[in-house]
Amino acid sequence: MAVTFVTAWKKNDPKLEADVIALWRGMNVLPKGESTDKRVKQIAILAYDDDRLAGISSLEVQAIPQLRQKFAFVRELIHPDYRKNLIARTLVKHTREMIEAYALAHPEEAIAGLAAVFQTPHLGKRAIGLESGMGLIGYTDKHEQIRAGWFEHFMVPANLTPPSEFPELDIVE
Amino acid sequence: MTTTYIDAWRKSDPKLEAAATAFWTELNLLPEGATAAERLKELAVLAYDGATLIGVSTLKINFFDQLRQKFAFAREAIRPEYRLQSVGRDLMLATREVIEPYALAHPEEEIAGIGAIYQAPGIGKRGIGRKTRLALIGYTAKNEQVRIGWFSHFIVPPNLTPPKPRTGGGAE
Repeated sequence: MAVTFVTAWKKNDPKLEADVIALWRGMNVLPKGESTDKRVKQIAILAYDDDRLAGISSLEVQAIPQLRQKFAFVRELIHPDYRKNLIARTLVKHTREMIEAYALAHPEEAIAGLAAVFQTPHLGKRAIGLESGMGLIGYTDKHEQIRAGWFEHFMVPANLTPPSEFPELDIVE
Repeated sequence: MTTTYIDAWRKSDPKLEAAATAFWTELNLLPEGATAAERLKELAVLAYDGATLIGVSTLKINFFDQLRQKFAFAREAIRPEYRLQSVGRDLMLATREVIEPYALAHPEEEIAGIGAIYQAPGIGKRGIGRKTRLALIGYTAKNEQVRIGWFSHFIVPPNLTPPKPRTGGGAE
């Protein structure tokens, strides 16, 4: 199996978006009420096994009030046929590399790092992910791990007062 | 300047303890109500420029509620004329290099990492320190940065329920 990773972030590529929507529908994974059109604009990296879509990462930029900065929250979906192939680990590595370079090139978006909420209990044995670089920074009310990895280039603003523009953390589900 | 770092952690070395006590006393660094004897139990690393003691770090192991683990919280005192020379950063790095192998060798103490409260406004410019690898994970009520460096060997227990409340918890 030769898996290739394709960057889809902000590409608005109709072919890639159609592949993603087909996989979501096939796996019935879109929550009720969620807009497919909105969600498909968050796709980041796609993992293909030849022409077959095997995995998707998507990103949603949200504030983490605890850190007083915006982070790109990553979600992954792996086709069941590929869950034993370590695609998830490689996918998050590629996703981090891509979004870190994007954030560096787009300082106006002020994306400080990559973050995730680990909803699967077997995830997060190590406090810092080897591939993602995301460290454990706390827990949700549901006792899920919240992870964040600062981008190397990101400079913390000297303003030490809490910013008022950050709403309460709206964790990606 | 060539700085030498001496590991004093849990050594109870009278010579190192006397040097640290003299340093704290000379610079009037012990807060009111704190005694050198108490602080000496936390003595971690001494930094020397030649024969001059230029910095001292201590470690206090506290349960950190936010992360549900125990961390070794570091404090540093640097001789004033050596500040702004990266001595603090290098002393933090040396302190980490002392406590991380100690934690690995003493799993019964369950020390998950090193922590610090950055009280000086000029430090903590990057989200994660390039040398120390201490990451910003929050702020105190006084808007000071709370930094954590997880030890690479530490495995997070699978228990997802919150720990029982303990007294004296927290980063401060």
